[in-house]
Amino acid sequence: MKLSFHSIIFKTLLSLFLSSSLFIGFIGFTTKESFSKAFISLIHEDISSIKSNIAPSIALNLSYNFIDSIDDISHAQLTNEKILLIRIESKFLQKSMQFSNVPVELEQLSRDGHFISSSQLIDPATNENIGQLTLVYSNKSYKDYMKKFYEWFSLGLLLFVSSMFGVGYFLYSSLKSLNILALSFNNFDPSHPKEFTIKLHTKDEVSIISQSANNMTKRLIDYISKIENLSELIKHKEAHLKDAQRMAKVGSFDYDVVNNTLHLSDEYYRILGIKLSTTLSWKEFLKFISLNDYQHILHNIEYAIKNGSRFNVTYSILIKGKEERYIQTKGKVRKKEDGSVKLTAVSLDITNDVENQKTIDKLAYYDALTGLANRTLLKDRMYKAIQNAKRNNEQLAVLFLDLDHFKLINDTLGHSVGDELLIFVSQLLHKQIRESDTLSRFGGDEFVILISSIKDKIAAEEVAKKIVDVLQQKHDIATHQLYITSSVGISLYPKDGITADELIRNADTAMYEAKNDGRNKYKIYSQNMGNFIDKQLNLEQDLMEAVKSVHQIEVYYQAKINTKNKEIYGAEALVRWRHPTKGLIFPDQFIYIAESTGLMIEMGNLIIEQSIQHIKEFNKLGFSHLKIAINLSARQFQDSNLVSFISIMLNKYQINPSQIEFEITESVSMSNMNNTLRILQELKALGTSIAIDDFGTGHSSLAYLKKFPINILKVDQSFVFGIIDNEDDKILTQTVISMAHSLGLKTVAEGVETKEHVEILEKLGCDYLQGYFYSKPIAKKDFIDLLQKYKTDIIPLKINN
Amino acid sequence: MKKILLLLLFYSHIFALSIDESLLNIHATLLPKLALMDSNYKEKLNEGSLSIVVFYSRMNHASAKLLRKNILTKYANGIKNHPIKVTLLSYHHLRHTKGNIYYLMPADTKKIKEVLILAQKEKILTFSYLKDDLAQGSMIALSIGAKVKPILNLTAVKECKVSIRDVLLKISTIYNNEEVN
Repeated sequence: MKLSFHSIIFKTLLSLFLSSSLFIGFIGFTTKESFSKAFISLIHEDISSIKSNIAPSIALNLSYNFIDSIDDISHAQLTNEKILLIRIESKFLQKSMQFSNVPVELEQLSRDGHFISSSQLIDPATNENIGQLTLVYSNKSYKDYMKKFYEWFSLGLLLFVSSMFGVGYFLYSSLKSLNILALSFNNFDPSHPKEFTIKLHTKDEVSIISQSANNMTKRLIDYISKIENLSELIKHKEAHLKDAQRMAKVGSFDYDVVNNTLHLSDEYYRILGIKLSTTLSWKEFLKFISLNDYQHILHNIEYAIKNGSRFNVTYSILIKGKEERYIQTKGKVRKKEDGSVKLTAVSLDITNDVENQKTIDKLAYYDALTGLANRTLLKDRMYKAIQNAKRNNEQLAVLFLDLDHFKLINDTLGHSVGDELLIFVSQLLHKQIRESDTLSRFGGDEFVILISSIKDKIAAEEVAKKIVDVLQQKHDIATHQLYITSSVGISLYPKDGITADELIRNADTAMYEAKNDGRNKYKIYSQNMGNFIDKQLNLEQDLMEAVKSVHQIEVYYQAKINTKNKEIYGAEALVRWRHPTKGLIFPDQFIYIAESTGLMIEMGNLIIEQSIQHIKEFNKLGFSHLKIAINLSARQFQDSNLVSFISIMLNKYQINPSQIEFEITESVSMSNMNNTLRILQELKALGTSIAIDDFGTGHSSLAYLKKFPINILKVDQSFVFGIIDNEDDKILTQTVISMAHSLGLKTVAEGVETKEHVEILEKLGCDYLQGYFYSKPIAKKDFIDLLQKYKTDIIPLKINN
Repeated sequence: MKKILLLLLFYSHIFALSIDESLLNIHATLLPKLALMDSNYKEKLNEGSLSIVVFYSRMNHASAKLLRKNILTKYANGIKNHPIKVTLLSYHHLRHTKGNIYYLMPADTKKIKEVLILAQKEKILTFSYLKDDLAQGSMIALSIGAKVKPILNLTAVKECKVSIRDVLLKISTIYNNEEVN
């Protein structure tokens, strides 16, 4: 193993060595010093003791001049090996006395390091200083002592060094595993954590660390595994986000204002139509913004950068200089204390939304079928035109146009033909007005024309006349040649109203006046026309109350005569509304209200119940042979409870279903074939009869006639009217009758008003006749009277009311 | 020195009771200093003077004088700031005399004993010219042999209740009656 100067092992061992050396040095020095001093001190004490022992004796002997005694004393001391020399100097002696065990001079002994101690000799008798006693004490004992000390110290040092080596080795072997641990950590490869395993065969703290490291590695592996899974999940979500951004066309970008660096998301590159690898500067990026929006957007962004605020801008960009895309960008600018300014934004490609919005706007303001302005746009333009007219003191004209019998075209030729007709009419009308005028489709077959800056009423009339004239011609619509007429109502600003609603309402009223006046004409609004819309609204309200109160809805009956025996075969039940103030109102004035307000089902059920109830009364009066025909509208066929209601009523009033005949128009039968067929079959199953009303005006096919459970065909009065003068009508009527008979059906001719009608229809073999020639629709009471009178008086050809 | 002492000893044996002047001279040197070996010597000072009382007989009156002369000569300035007073007192006219030390010149045993009794009463150190006086109860004498050493009669010292300093004990030979006899 290599030892580094920076390794803990080296440092620890070095510290141990240095501290041990210092300790040993210190201990050695201090011990030696203390031991040496102590021993020297002992020696000096010994010397002092010796001197104190002999000095007074020597001094007294000197004082008494007993020199020989001094010899004895000195020699006696020299028996002590430690005392090498004694010198006595005194004024009583002619020369100093010296006693020695060694043939060496005092100076030499001094150089040899022996202990030399001198003291004064005081005469014990007189206390006078009488000389000096010098004692040389051998340092042998000191040397022996110190030698012993060094021997023991060396032994101790040896033991200490040995123990230090032991400790060092222990530390080395302990820290060696730490080094192995460190090397293992150093070789740790994060990409291959499973390869990291530390195997140490020790049971010390390092082993615990290695075990902990292994555990940590396991947890790290688990963590990395989780991170990898998380990373995969993030990648997946990132891809998902990218896909989502791509699908949502959302891009994002970061702009570091200080460093002028721009980063675009992948989707933003797609939005801009450039390659992902393209590097864009901020200026290049801004150049994508269309010229119209550039200054505005730049101002917004610069403001946000200046104030560190948010911004939300919508603008268009030009892709490759031609394709325009609309972008909505929401962003915010973050200004940090370190001076960095970062703009982060999310951009949404709202091109489709803008296009859709345009479409929505178009749908909102323009009629989808004709492309004309709708009533919203019309009102907007009218508002502006009125403001303008008011400002300029001008007049405006509003022309309300409704195609006559358009419903008939829809019912007979289908809605597609109706739609084509509307488009054709809109184009035709467009040609009759100025560019500055507004032509709008108000709804259905209703058109409103706003003529601005009109000179006077006459000018408006001229436009209306021109329109009426242009429309009342033969027009080629699809494969059909259609004759159409129109009714036009005119209102003028400010005479007939000062608001758009007023002007439109009054023009509408005038239009109804035109219709009531025979159609195919125009009318200028006058106050005596009243307010048609108000009338309508009132009528709706009244009708609702009428249906609720039951009594105002009455059933009238128009007799049907058997051609062969001229007897009253039955009658058609026809509804009348006996208005409390307006009197008797005919169905053409309220049925459409019932249809549009949802009252039709309720009112239809009321008519059915009243009719069945009346049949019971007729039966009671002895007219149980009568067959009463009840009209069913298209709306009633949408009522899922229709058949069950009829069944309940039949049971309630105990009426034979064969006395009931239901009339449906061709258009009803053709509108929802399957549903109609099902209901008719159910009605047939109840035992009632089915008649097709107004046959010939619709577009029913013979196949359906055969398929439907029909009993009777009613020839439309428009054919009957013409059978006298028009050979075609006569042939058509004959064909219908023949066809009906060949299908096993009975025929009823409507609109029989003259004797000629009766004669011709008899000849044509029509089974039953219905019309004013015999009887107009009359109230139940009158019908009963008719039945009774007819029964008694027998009026063979004509029933006169 | 040894030879001189041997010679003096020789003369002393030849001329009994004759006083050796050399020895007197030595004694003159020693006497003041021996007097200071008494631990209580200050109490025994005679008006501040160290008092040495020399007992003599007729035969050695001159020696006593010589001794006094030698002492006063040697210690003309006194010792330890104490002037020295030497009193000569004859054995025949014994009287209570205070002093720091009694010096006993040779005399008959009876006289010696009388002086010693007197010294014992006064608790005064006694120093004899002859070491034979130690047997009579003198405290100190001088051994003249191979070596000159003081001989100390500890029994007499104890009986006399004189307190002497240790150092004197260290340099002295302790008197043993049997050995001396």
